[in-house]
Amino acid sequence: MNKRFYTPHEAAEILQVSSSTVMNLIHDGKLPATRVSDRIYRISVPALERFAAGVPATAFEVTFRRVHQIAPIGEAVRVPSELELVEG
Amino acid sequence: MDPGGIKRYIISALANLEGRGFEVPGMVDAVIDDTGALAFSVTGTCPEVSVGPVAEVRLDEVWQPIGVQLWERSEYAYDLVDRPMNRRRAWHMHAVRQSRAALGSPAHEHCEEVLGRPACDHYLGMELRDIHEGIALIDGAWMEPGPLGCGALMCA
Repeated sequence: MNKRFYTPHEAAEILQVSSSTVMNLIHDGKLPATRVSDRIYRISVPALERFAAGVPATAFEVTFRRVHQIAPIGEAVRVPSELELVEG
Repeated sequence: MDPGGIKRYIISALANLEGRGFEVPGMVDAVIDDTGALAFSVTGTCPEVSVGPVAEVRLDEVWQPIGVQLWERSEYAYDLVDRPMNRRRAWHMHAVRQSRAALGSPAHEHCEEVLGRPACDHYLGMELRDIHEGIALIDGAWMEPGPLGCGALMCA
């Protein structure tokens, strides 16, 4: 399995900055990270690669359109029907 | 939330996923049905290698109208299907009335250490604040090198 995350210390080495700079980037919301516990953060490999490469954010678009009926959600993967839910 | 707010909310979710390294579409369709309910689906993938299975993320939400051009979130389904690791993690809140009756909670979770082989169909869940909380949980599950910890959850 490929490596999926870096610690802030590892990220600092890759970015050639200090660990405290990495933590500042995380706290400023500039580098996405997941807080595993009070003092432990993980930065995903693709997130760090993207940050290091300076890839600009996409200009996303959202459109609204009318439909007769929206499809039920939560059933794309194996998820029980409402009846199964009631029956436990 | 008004349409502009919902639009910004969806775009912020796309940007959040993209920032975390997931490949996401540049455009999302939000739909409004005859009852006025609004729904959207944000998907993403996280390919780690040029060939082979990828991890898939799907974030669905349904919003009910609460006034003129105003909606509030009523249902969600945030899913990670991690095919490279052959496992799944999900946080759901749908069929709320039935879920409250059966589980005593509006929300439930799915956790499969082996994809397609859940030890429990529904784990008790807490309502998540918004899509960003779901994205953070999904990202955390994707990065988890060990077991997902399904055994520590409460089977409903």
